[in-house]
Amino acid sequence: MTEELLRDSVLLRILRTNPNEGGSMCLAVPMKVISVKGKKAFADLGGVKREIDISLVKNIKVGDYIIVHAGFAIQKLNKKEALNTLELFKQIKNETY
Amino acid sequence: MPHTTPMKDDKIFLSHGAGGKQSRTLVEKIILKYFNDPLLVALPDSATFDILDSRKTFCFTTDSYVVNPVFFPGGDIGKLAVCGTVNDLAVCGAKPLFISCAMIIEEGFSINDFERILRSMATTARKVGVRIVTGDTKVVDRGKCDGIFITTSGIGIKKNNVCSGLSSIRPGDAIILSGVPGLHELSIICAREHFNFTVSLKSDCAPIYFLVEKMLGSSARIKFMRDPTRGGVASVLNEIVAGNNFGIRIYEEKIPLTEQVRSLCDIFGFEILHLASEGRVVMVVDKNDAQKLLDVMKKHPLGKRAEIIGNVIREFPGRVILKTKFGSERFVEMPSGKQLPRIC
Amino acid sequence: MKHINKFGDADIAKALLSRIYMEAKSIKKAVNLMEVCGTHTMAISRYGLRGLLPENIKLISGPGCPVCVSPNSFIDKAIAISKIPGMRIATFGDMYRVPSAMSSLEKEHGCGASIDIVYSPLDALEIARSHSNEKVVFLGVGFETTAPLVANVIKYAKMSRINNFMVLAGNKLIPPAMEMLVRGTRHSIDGFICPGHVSIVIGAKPYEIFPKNYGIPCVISGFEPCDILQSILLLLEMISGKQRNEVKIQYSRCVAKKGNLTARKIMNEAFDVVDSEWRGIGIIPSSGLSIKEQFKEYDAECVLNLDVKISRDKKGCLCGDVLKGLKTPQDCVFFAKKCTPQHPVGPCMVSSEGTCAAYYAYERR
Repeated sequence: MTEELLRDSVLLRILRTNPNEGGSMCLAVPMKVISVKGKKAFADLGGVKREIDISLVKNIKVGDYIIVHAGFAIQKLNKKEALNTLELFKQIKNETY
Repeated sequence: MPHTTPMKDDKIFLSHGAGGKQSRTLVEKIILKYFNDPLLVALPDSATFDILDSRKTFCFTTDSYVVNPVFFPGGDIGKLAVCGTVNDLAVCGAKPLFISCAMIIEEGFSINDFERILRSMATTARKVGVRIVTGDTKVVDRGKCDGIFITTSGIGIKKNNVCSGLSSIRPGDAIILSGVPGLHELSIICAREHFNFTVSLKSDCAPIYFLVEKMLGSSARIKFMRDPTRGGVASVLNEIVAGNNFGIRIYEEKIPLTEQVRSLCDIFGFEILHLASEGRVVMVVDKNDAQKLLDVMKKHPLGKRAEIIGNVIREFPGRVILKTKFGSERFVEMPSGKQLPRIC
Repeated sequence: MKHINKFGDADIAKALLSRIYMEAKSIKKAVNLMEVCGTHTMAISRYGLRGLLPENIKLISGPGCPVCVSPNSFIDKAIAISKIPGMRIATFGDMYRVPSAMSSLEKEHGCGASIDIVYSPLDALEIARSHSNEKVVFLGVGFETTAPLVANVIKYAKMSRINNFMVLAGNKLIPPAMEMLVRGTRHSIDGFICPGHVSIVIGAKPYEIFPKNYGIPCVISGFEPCDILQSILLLLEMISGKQRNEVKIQYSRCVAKKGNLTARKIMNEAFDVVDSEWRGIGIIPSSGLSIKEQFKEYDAECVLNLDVKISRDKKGCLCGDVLKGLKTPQDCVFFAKKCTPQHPVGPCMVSSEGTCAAYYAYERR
């Protein structure tokens, strides 16, 4: 799977909406790990970077995609499952048309 | 010059606003270094000038700027104070001629920062060809204002019969947006304290006069024009349709964005259409002229990402509707609820 | 880089919808699916999904808006804290404008209270570090997605011996609230769209009681349009009998069946499970978290003497029924008239995950 497709496959809501001031608590986004140092990682989402606390998720490496919520990684993106879901979607589309 | 002393202070003090020797020193040694228009240097109470052709129509506007922080990526309160006022004149089809600059400064404000702001105002004014011809400076006790507040008023001369007006808008008319929206407000959010993200995004604060001049010179039938500041594109569109017998449909896919803008909206849950710009234009234009106008705009640096984002429709009178990338439709309302304070 | 959103792809969505229509036709009767999580409610409104579904399939919103279910007393305690000299409140943005019957943090800020809006509880701890002459109280609001983070920050505070930081504990647990909704016979819920990010932490097990004891299938869903549509399809297939009634994970790229054990361990290190009051609903047993004994010096309720008067919600406000899925925002007399995001009567209009806020923004006809 190309880097692009993997990243895009996780999508990020375009025009994510919040009619009031930002700060939703269920909002968690996938970010790419650029560097790791102990319990912290530096991660990027489309050019927006932040130091993330990774103490809640084991075995995070550079290049992994982590699900980030309020400054913490809460899970690592499962690339295999992402592909499986996309494959399933493709199947449904092909069966219908 | 009599009654002045060399400027030794590195901070603004209350005495700088008291009208005495130190006030004069501040004006002559600091302010006139940057604002040196002949109509101003003699320091009269008001700038006086002949109007050669009294049959001209003048536009006059004013605005106050209280942005926090005063320095942000892509600009500062000074640049904003000039652009904001100049843009209000531009969207009325007026060539900006003169602006005034009234400043309220908090005691303790750094002279270095003050000079930075003045330099920025002078540079921006020069770029646009507008003259800062009169002003005022007051200093208040520490804590009585936050840093610096600036009020600019502007006079322009109406060059074109722009904008046939809201009453000329018809279903089918195109909606054009001149570039990526919301960058100004996002840059302020990013520059605020406790925002611990690294971004490289800059405010879109810019004088749009020359872009508007090109647009008006294109002979496209522009029916309405406004710059989307506080309240963003959503506010402008809702203002256009309010109380009228037409609606507007815009297309999510057509709204120009950047990766960082998308990402910030994802992380924080912002509605990009609600975020303020300070260098963009929203227009309603006759459908037959839309592409021509777009081609003209794209040739200008401030219009490179201009797009036709939607059109006026017969359905949903008084409402703005958005067709999602996904194919469904939903309403776009005026932003309500808390808007981020002190963004301009 | 081009943004190709396969999870929001219109063709895939159409294909999923077409399958949904087929299932709905074979089921024939009316089906009510509850989206528990406020972020799902927002996504459904924002993508216009409600209007795309067959007539007999209804989506009803649930109590998954942590700010909406925080009781008046929580907000009043926060307000009381903000009035104490030398105190600073750090809060997620959502709580800032929520009205209790008395006031709101926004109003108090306007009267001079020190209130900081933060993205992360880590930022709140940073504020405490950099404002050593003030005491910082972080408002711990949220469900199981947020609770481990708050727990971790309490632990950091203790390890770093930061003694000017406290938490006003208000985190709640979602599955007990879901069970409360289906215990009586008054409910009409045929299936649950389960919260995606809460489930990252808790996994699939807590939802197993629903198909097992109540015959209600569950699907843990992602937040993109195709995720939600696929989840609806999976629920309908279980309701029609085509598939076994169980808990399915649609959001498998993020949710593991076991959840995140590390996160749960940390949560349990700092918190005890207690009965908790949910605004508009009442006390739900074992549905809240309170700070454990060994971290009591970080518990604002223990350290500060907070004596607040009980304030009641405005008469006529239907937030409670909306949160339980019994009413829609349009059923409320205040909706879009007296109650707007600028002048909210209840929390559902103000929160970024509030059902009334979603309807106000996207579904007002």
